Amino acid sequence: MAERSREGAAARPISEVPRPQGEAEELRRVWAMPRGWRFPSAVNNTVIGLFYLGIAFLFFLLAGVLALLMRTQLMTGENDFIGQELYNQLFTMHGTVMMFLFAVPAMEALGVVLLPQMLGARDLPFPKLSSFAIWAYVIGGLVFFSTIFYDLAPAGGWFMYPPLTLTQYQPGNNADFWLLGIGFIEISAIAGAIEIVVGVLKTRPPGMTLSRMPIFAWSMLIFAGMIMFAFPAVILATMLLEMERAFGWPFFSAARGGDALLWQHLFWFFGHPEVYIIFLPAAGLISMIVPSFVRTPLVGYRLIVVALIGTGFFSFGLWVHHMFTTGIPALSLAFFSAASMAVAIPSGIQVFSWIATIAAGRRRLILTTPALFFCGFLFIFVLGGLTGVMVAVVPFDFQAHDTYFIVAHLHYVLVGGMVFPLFATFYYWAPLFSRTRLSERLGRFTFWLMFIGFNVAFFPMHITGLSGMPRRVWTYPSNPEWETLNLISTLGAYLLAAGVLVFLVDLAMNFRFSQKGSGNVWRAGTLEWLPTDVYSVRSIPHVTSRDPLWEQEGLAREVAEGAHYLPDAPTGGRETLATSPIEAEPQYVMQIPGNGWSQFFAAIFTAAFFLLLTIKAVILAFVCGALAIVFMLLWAWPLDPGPGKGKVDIGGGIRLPAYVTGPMAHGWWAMIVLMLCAGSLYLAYIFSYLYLWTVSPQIWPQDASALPPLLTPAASTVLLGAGSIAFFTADRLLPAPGRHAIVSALLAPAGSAALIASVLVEIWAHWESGLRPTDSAYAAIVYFAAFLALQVFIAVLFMALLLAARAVAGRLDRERRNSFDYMAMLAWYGAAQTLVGLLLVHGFPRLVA
Amino acid sequence: MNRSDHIGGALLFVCAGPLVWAAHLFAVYGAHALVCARIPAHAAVLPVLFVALTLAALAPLAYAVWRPDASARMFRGNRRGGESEFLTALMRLLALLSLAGILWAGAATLTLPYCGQLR
Repeated sequence: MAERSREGAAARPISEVPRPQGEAEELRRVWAMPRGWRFPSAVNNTVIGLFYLGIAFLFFLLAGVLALLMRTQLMTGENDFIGQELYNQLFTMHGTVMMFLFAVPAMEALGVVLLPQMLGARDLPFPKLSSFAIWAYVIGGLVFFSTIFYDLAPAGGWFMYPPLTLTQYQPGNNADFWLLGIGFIEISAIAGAIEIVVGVLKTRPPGMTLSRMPIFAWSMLIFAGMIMFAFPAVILATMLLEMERAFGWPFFSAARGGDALLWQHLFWFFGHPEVYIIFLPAAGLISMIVPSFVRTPLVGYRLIVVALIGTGFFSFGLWVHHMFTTGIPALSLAFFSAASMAVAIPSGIQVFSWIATIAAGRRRLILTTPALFFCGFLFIFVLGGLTGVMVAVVPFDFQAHDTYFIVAHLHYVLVGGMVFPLFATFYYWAPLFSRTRLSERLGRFTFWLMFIGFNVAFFPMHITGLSGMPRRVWTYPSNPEWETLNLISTLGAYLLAAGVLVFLVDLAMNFRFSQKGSGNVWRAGTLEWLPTDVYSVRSIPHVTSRDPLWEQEGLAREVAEGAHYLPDAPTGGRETLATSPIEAEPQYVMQIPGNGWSQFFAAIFTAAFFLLLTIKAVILAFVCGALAIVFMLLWAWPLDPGPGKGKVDIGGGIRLPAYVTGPMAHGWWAMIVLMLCAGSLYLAYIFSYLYLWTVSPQIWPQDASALPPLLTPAASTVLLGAGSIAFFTADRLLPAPGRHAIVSALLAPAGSAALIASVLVEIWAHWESGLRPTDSAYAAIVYFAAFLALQVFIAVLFMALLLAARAVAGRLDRERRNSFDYMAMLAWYGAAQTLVGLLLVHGFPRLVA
Repeated sequence: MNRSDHIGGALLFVCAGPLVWAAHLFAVYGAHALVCARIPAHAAVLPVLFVALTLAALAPLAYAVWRPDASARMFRGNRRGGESEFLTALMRLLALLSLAGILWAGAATLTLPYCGQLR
């Protein structure tokens, strides 16, 4: 794409220096952040990312307070400080908030804040999507947490197992808050994952090939990939359970052919990778910090990448190890036991690489606060990993299951594997965003209080568990052994909390936000330590090594002088450089949307839609849903700017287009990621269908006459084909620039209507055959296929209506066509998915009958 | 775009090992669950099936480790770029890791009863 070879571009200086007067001011104007009450309209990654991180940390504090309340209750036997009902809500909220509202969002927030800096980019590709995801999470999360004050909090454990969470055992809205609230926040996490995948693969600086990418970028790429495949399973599970609670579709009721274990399969297919979703970015952060402290490149870079990818895959093969006691045959348990032990190999590779890096260091590891937190992480996480191997052994797990041994194990893994690295991160990277560093003295206090407190709190729980104390009990008989151990754990918990309190004091006293930060205080080698301003880097560097600030002498000065790529704003708006995903060769100048309100209001009304549905305020909920769609359309309207800017100069004699279409465009990549998520959700649906048949074959039609006649799926298929052809024809009839795309504008909504009609025919056919979704798990899962198809096609319809408006306004033609392409991709994906659904729903019962 | 920069093929090439591992786990677990739940009388077929599935998974991985160029041609065509060596190293190491995982799971079939719960 570039008009000059990469080798030519590498010759320095890339852009002429000194740069023209006023160029930096122009960049500052373009990237200026709104102040005061306009803050919610901001989209700059540093500001919204830090806000995101701050809110995630707030949830950590709130969930920590819940933990202290529980520890106070358990301090002595037969304590009546907290009643059983509230205790159930406390442990449910503690787990849920820590996992869904703190751990994953904190890691996504670090991705939003740090990735553009590490990649030398001006911002991530979809800042408004980030902003939308963050505000949706903030509003949804705060409302969800507040339920604890109104006795409305869920009480079924963070895993929400049915049948306990079915309406007959948990009436009221408490469980619905979990299902709709958390389901909605998971969608926000997927939005963040799209941003990260496309950001890492498309916005690296020229020369930063895959083998030169910072390990944190690798870990975030795998983190986002895991979210794409893990979260859809739990989104499907929450949809199924909410359908059963709200409308009586019996997916989990054994009396009508459902099975509670289906929930466990779906939940843990998400839940176990979730542990690594949290751990891998933390490990990536550690892999950035350790080399910096010993001034030595990371030992075993390739092995660490292999370990990250291997862990990402293996973590999906472990879900049944949470279900060892559910009656699954021993041989199947052995498959998952093997995978549970195998995952220790890549985790071990990382630990040995860090130790080898320290051993090979050009200087001795000085125990600054981040280094202390690294050491604490290593000690605690290795212990948690070892007990993990213990519980991977099936007979041991039979004994330890649902005891305090598991509570100890999971906290050693999660606090060791995520919280300690997070605090190392706070102390290490705070100088990037603060005029002053955090205090070393207070930092040491924080570390020692947290480290000692944590081990005092959780180590005794191994013994408490092995001596038989079950978890999730609000009180226990007064016996000296359990009481002593619990008292020690409670004292440790308060010590741990005191450590966090000291950190807050440090933060209040020393953190002062500044876009320019305090400079490269650790003399680190990676790009985030380049001089920055509100626009991020002054120019986008050409990279020739993994630790460019160590190995490319004078790089920081050159970048600050504007001597590298894109030292100005050639399109007059926000932009960054898009490069190829493997070799990082410059491809085009990516235009990025700036500040605005549409995504903020879309987030508010989307949150309101879900939360109002929870309290059954259906009409108001749909009004908010409609408003959310209106603001999303307003958000989408200015996107797809077209090729009007032509080619622009990025320095070094390279001229690149400011607009591309097809597989090179970042929007195309986002659609692919979105479709992979949707496909993953549909695979979870197919698994659910086959699982229910395996468990309850008697509720499937015993002969084909009970099924709708084959004519009806044939009619649906014809409509799917007609819809798909309409989009194909609309594509072919897109006019040349300057002419209105009226025919295409009419064909797209017509195609959407045909696709929706295909689903309506399917629903009608089953209804006519006498099948009702509340009849049995079979009936419910059949109707659910139609429900999944319908939601995709309704999204396509809204996109088609937007497209029609764009055509009327002259914003759609053969060259300005990204909005059309993305809609057509989703339509064709939806048609293919629905076709698979028709084959399953109409073909499988005939096959087995 | 440079011809060496085809991310889809590169992704499949690098992740070939873990993908085969996942397919193997899916196949052995799925077959086991299905046979034990629906046709337990035919459970004797399981060890033969599992050994066959395990060998079928091991063979292509062993070949990929031994002859990475052939695998590279299959997934990436004749693309050559600065990252080829790095991607090949990742593929081989991941394939080795996956070989261990497949052997580990497959070995269980030789020692445990077919459909028993052991308690």
